Amino acid sequence: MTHSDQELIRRAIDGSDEAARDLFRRYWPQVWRVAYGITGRRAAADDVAQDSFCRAFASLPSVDSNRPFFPWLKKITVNRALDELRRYARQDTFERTHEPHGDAGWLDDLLDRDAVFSAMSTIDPQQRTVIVLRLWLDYSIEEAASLLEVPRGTIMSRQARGLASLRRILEESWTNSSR
Amino acid sequence: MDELIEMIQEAESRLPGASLAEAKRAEARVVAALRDAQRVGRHGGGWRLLRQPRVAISLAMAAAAVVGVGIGIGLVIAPSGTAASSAGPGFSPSSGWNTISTGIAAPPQAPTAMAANVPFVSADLTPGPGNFPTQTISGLDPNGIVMIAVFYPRGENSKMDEGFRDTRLPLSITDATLQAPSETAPVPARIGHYGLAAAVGNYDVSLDLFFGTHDLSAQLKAAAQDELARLVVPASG
Repeated sequence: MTHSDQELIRRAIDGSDEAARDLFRRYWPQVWRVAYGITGRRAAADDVAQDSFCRAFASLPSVDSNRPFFPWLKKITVNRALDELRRYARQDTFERTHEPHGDAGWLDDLLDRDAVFSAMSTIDPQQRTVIVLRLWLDYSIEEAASLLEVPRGTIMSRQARGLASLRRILEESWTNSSR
Repeated sequence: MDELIEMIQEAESRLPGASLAEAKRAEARVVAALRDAQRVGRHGGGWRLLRQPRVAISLAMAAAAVVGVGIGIGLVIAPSGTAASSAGPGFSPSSGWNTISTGIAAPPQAPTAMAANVPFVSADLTPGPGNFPTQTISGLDPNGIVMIAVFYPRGENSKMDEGFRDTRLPLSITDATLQAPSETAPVPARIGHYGLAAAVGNYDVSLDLFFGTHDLSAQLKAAAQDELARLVVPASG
């Protein structure tokens, strides 16, 4: 029998670890992919996804259990992922180049195999974030503007320029590979 | 449907997943977080969900931005007052203004055009569509103006067309709105950055305007409006 999110939340709050685990398992893959889509790094995605769930679950006793769970959790995750981007930018270059083996991110994971990911990894991070929010996470312009705390026009500008950049990079890639 | 949009959306399905080991570890910690919060009575925990942290987008993530070599192909640069033989959308030439346009010669399929009433810094002369001529912008004096227009094909994807209102030329400076500062392509704080979005013909036009001052005089606005009036969007492209 499949329980609704609200039913799982109520049971988890009442003490059922099984209900809490069911709720976690229901959304963990999606939350992790949101985190990875924005941060581009496995270790960061692990941390962001786990932290987002912890924040959400710790607040379950106090939030309205009828509130749609996943949209709320997704918003927490996007905010945490964006915080992680900012933290990563402040890291010393040494730390970034000496990250643990296996967390090379988009470049090493996908560069040689996927032109789209390669192109995504090279465009301006602000433009990429808007494209991820709009095309992967299905945010409206207003929702993206609210989340990033920028004017609506800024979202549209970054979207247009990001797509133009991707188009150019991909066409160059195809042109070079056909020679 | 726009092939590029399809490709990006389809790429999401190829994103890797988390490891099983990490999922198990996270599951245990998350359930513990709920019990900890209940035990100490910290409703909401130390994480006040109503607080939205100010987001600052970083310079991080991956390799440096690529300034496309290929964009040089077909790039049309028109110094002040000379004719620019561009078959695509862009700014008509005018004395006192320098213009750059990519035209519609393949590649690219998303034409970009720039106009400035100052000389472009040489490093900005091969822009990637999507990138600002930041050195030129950073050097603007109080009378300086730089405009960058991206023309994205309209009608191929309703989601991407969202927000671009049908507009007839000439575009109006009064429709331009103040933009958020960029952390990845920063310009001096004294630079005023405005944006304007409009659906014109077959294009979603995203326009960024930079002024060398935040104090826009009537004369400065008029100069910008005059240049906006020289924006040309062909009937087909």
